[in-house]
Amino acid sequence: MDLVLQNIGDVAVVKVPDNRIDAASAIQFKERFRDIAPKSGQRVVLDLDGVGFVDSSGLGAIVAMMKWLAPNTALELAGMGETVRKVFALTRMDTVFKIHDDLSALSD
Amino acid sequence: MTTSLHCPTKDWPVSRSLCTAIALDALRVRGSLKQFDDWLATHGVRSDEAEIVLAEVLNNLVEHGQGPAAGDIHLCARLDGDQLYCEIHDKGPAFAPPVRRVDMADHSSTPIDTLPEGGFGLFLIQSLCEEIDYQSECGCNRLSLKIPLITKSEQI
Repeated sequence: MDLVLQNIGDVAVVKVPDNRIDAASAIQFKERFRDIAPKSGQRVVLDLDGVGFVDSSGLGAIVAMMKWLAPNTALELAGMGETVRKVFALTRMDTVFKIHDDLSALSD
Repeated sequence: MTTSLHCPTKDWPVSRSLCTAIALDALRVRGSLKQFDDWLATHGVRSDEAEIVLAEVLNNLVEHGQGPAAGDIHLCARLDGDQLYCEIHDKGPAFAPPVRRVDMADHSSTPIDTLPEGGFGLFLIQSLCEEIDYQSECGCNRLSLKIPLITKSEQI
């Protein structure tokens, strides 16, 4: 899993080229995320556009990265598809993250 | 007495049933879930709920089982109206079945450094299954699930 860091204005956007963050890829996701995401206090958004499936391991990994960025930075999410949104809603983790519909809505 | 795994569903109608063996490996589980989705699609069904539940059940067995030495997991599934029935057999250690309903805590005010990073899987299984039954006998675990299928039109 190769994550891609892209700066949009003053926001660091981490893109996920894979279509799944699951039990098979969660550890690699965390390693790559720690490699590229800035902890400098800059806003960090995880862009999940194109990620069709996140299981409990993937969800745990995303929460772990929010904890890793804290306290200087709050991890925000964007581009969640229907299935991914469902997993966040059922586990009530959708109340923990600031969630944007897509990258064009980052200023919301 | 042998403890070979038998498909318990041999009397299920073949036309709307699937029986498959799955290796105890996270990547192989990923492939099997794709195969399962494809099977549902041939019957005109697409179910986030089924994929979420099966991913959690199978990955739990991978994580807590005894590895490939314990043999494959056997998954049998049957479509009946708007219900999906699944039987999952494995020969790993007996486990506490996810039958007790627990509500997911509201973490909207929880300090970030104490947020949970696990415990989501069993909760997802409990939330999405209408019925869960578990039996362990002769070194074999049998988990039976009933998953209501929500069609796209109902979700909108």
